[in-house]
Amino acid sequence: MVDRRSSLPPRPSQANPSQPRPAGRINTMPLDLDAVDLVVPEDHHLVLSWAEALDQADYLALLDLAPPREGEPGPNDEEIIDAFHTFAERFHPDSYADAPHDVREAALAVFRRGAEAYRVLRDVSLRQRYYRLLEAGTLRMSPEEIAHAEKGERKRPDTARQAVKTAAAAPFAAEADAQLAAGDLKKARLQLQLATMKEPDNEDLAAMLLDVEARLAARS
Amino acid sequence: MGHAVGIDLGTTNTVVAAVVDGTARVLSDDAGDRLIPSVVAFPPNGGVLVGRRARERRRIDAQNTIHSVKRLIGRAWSSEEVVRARTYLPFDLKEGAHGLPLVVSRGRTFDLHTISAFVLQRAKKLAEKVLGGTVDAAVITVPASFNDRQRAATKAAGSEAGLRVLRILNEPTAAALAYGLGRTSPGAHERVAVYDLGGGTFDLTLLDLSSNVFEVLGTAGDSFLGGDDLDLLIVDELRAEILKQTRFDPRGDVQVMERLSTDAEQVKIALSDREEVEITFRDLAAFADGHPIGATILVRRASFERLAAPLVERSIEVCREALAVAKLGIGDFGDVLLVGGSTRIPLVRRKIEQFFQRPPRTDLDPDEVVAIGAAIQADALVRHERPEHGEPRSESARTASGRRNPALPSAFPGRAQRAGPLLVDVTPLTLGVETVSGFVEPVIERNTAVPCSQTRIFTTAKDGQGAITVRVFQGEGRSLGENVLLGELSLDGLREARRGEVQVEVTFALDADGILQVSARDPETARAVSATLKVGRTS
Ligand SMILES: Nc1ncnc2c1ncn2[C@@H]1O[C@H](COP(=O)(O)OP(=O)(O)OP(=O)(O)O)[C@@H](O)[C@H]1O
Ligand SMILES: [Mg+2]
Repeated sequence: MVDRRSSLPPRPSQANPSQPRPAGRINTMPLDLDAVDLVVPEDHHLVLSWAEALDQADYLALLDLAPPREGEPGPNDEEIIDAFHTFAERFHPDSYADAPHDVREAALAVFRRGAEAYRVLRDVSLRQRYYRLLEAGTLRMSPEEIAHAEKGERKRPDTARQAVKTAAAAPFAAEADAQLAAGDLKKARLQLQLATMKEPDNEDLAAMLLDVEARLAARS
Repeated sequence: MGHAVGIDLGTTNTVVAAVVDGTARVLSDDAGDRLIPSVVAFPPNGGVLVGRRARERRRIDAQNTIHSVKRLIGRAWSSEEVVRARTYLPFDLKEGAHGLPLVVSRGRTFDLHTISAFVLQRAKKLAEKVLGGTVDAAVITVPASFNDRQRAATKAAGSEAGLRVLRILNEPTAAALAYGLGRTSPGAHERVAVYDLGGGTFDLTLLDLSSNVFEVLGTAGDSFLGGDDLDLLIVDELRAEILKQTRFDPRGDVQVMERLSTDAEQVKIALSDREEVEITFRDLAAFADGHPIGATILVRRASFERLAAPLVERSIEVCREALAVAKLGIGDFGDVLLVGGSTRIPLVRRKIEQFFQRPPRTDLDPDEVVAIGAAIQADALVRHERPEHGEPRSESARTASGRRNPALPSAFPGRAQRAGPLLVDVTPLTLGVETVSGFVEPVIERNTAVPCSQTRIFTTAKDGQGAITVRVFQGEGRSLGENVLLGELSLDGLREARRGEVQVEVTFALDADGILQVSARDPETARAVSATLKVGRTS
């Protein structure tokens, strides 16, 4: 049987986990000449090329937005919305229902990445953080970072001392931190249990306790 | 090829519409009825009745007259909602495979989606009669707050009814499509809020409408707040009053309770136009001496409003939440659109006006607008399947970015020319996995545009752990209790190593219907498992 505890928190350092997509091929176009409008193949070809180049595209390039430069703040909210709408008109899979399978899949891959780009760019604080990543040469924000932006204010504290809110729980928390630092999980567990008794509704404490218990279980 | 229609599969009523000669209209049956009651009855002779004739049987054969299944579809037997519903629904439910509820009638059992399929089949037949040809494809609407399981079950109902489900579309988005089509001028943006209070669910959805794209900015809802709940409040009043007047307690009699509940709905509807309603009950039961028990009860709007206020207030809370999540204020919006029969209640309209500081639009028919939007979308989707009917794309555009980065193509594909605007919807609920510390780690955040996908890397928790289980949850908040378990997926054959050393890639992909595909992959062996999830316990 599988241990339900086995999915662990992600490793924070993972940057870009996705594999490059296999490239689509233009020569799988339908050969029914009556159905082929001359404009269509070019579009299909472009969709395939964008899917192929996806991992070289930064979010701004994908949405056809100009990057911020010295003294210029970069695109504003309205421009980002408009850019995403135009992007959606170009790549949304609904518009490729009649296209060959590989073109449809390529459009889907590009659209998904655009949805991610929009998710980041439309949020002012994520957008600023992304610009800094981009300067450092990172084209894509990690899913961890995106996911925690929303819940950022609820980010887990690093120590038990930071997690507790009452004076009654504070000494136990401080002791738990000390034991954790010393690597004595059993003693740390006891201190966390005592702190939890003082603050039974404290989610962060409960999380720490569970974490310590899991680590103990993993040892035995 | 057959016709494509739009179907608003409601908790209480179902409406079907189609685009005919370029205009979307609601289809009505021979009697002129546009609303098909979402009721399925199994009469003693073995047949199946659907719609109006089924609804009539609620008053005489409550145990075999199935209604309100939309409140239960796609939910686990053990879920709070199913547990609650079992206390007031007069028909029998039992636990079936995968921890899903089944309906029991006259010794037969039915999946919930089979009950919905009966209703959809009825809608299909009606449409075939009006349109004069087969109907084989449909867009079916669901509340925006429906989770993955509820959407998947609705889609299954469509297939079972013999329909190719072109899209599972959110009701408020459909409403916005019906409202906004042709209204917006090129380049302009209009922001609308859709307040949708129907029979079983409440949603508030915020949209940005431009001439070519209708984008959902955010949505929030309560899938257990609707007209049915208001009926229950009145039932309680009536029951107490009957007890007071006659010392007869209707609670002991399922059939009488069901009569009270259909009467309560009539009282509630009447109170939308009148200040007070008098209702007389005859022959509720008989006294010991054989005399029939009856009562006459006066219900005033003011007292109904006192009862309803907390529920309506809950909907306003959801509005507040939706705006906060979308980081928008009420000043950012133009019109407030009303959808759903329960928005006819004067108290509801007053509260909306108070909150949004403007009167809501009342010129749209709240019963029709969702089906109309679904029909427009169905028409647009089938058009794109038939290139001979589609229009050419605009010319491809050269890109500025291509010049900046030689690795990128130097042009974008053209924009699709479409009959109506392109809909870009979002996922209403955050999707995540349970982590070792017992919390839900988000993978795709709510209000992310769909289709989308995201991959995260997880590691093993134990030394020598040969397998991992990915437990998938949907909901806000990080504790398990605040989330619904969608299902789980296991990947075994992992390399035996120290804990934390083995990595597994977990990918969530949401399609445009909001249905989730989860896959887990071991990058070392390239072994992978993938599944659309099943609700409930897995063995
Ligand atoms: N005039 C009215 N006043 C008050 N309530 C009304 C009125 N007309 C209809 N309703 C209520 O509206 C509800 C039905 O609305 P509607 O048909 O929009 O819901 P539905 O589409 O079946 O449900 P849902 O969208 O939640 O799945 C019922 O609870 C009904 O009693
Ligand atoms: Mg409805």
